[in-house]
Amino acid sequence: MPQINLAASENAFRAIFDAYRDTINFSASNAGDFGPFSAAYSAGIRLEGGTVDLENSPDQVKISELDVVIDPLSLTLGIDIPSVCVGGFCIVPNPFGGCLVRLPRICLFEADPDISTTIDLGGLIESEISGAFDMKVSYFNNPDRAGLTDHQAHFAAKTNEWQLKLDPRWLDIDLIDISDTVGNILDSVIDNLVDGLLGGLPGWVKDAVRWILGGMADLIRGILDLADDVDEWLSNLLGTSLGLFDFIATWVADYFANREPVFSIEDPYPVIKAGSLIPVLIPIKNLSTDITDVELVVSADIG
Amino acid sequence: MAIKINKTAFSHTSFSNEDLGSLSYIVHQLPKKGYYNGKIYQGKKVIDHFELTCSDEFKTRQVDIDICSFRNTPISEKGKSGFKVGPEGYVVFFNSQGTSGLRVRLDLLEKEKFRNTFDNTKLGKGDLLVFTLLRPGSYRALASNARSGLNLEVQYPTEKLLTRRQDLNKPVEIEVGKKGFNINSAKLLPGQGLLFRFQEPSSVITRLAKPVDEGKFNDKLKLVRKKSKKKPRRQVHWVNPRK
Repeated sequence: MPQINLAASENAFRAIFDAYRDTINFSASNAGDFGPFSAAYSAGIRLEGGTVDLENSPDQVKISELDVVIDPLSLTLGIDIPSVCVGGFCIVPNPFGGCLVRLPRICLFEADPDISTTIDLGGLIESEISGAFDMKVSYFNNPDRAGLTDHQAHFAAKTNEWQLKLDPRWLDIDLIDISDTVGNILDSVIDNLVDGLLGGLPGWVKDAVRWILGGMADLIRGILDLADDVDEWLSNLLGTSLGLFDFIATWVADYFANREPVFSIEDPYPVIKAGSLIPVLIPIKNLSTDITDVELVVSADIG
Repeated sequence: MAIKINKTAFSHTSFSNEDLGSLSYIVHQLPKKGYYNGKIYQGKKVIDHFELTCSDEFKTRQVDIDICSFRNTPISEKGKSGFKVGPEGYVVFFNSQGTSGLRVRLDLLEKEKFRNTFDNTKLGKGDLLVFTLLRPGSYRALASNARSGLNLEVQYPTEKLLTRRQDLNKPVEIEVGKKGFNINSAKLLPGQGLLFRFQEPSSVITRLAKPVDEGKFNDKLKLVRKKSKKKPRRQVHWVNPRK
């Protein structure tokens, strides 16, 4: 049976991948309750940049430093503020120890207030994805082709296809940097929460409540378990607690391996395109790939 | 985000045992064991009454009576409230909602007659009166049995004062004697108790003279950035389970 070989140089494959990458964007959201506080994020994600290398032995496509752009990214933090109460101290001590009379506590809010604030972290988290991929060949039986002849399907762009997909062996996601402005944004959380809680009340009331609570900074630091290193805290919250990076890895792996091919070949293939005559379509069978250090070679039986 | 705020607590600027309002407490030790009839007045009108029994049968040393709760009691429940306390027990009267114009008195049943032993409009020897002043500013306190007064200053809440926050549990104590107050002035933290110990029958009123609005509580998280240069942190290492 006659064979056909198509070869794409590494540069040509990079151009194909760049075009493929630029079509990718997706959204993610998740929420969690972590006892004294809750958090939820909503993110839009796209991919940019990256370097593509073809590798022989084993045959694989290596993609490095593919930027994961997380923008927009909104993070909502919900906090249970403890009761803000006065009184409750001992007024008649027991000479033998303890307290004989303790004043009832009078609380300044009807119940423990739950307050939340949303901060915009869009574009402030820099991360990258790298991975190694097999070139997976699969055949796509187009369900829309049913009842059509080969030529009708060709003209209607409803043909079956041989598809080349990037099937990941592994993927790594690295957090490269968190912008310095995140610290300032988190600092604004305190004022946002106080305004949300006591908006409309005079400044001295807000200050008195902050003071009775022992300072909102220490309180919020404790509730959010804000460690010394804010970068680590934020990456743990988004990555470990809310699973943002796991979601990105799983989504990218599924998209590359199962959803969109990086390259597809129509079957039957128009070896002579339509001109004054109808195109010449030749069936393609047994498609296979071979990756060398310099090119991707696609071979198939024809006829 | 609907949070109900105890607005009267923040707006209250006049404190008196005669009109026991928000953030005010009276502590009264019962003079004798026996059966007491308590009456709650709104102005001059009795709106409810309650029973208070002081007996060896009970071990509790303190009973808290929220006088504003009687105002909202359904008619069918009026007069059915009963409180029990052990001998030499203390009654703590307070007004959680700050409803104004409420008065309380206790009458002890002796020889088939009721004898008045307590009236919040005039406190007696041994009674304690506590105010919690939230609003920063200058206050003036006056005792009904003396001409001299007392100047009080509630400091504006700042980060600097946080180191003294534990003093919230230590009220500033003032004695009310024959000649009035034992001191001329005192400084308080916002929310700190102001305790008057009555050595003589009297009444005390404390009013905001001049509020202080200047100041700013400006605590920041002061977050630490530990990075010195870009250092990637591995977040996910995903391996295809089918490979």
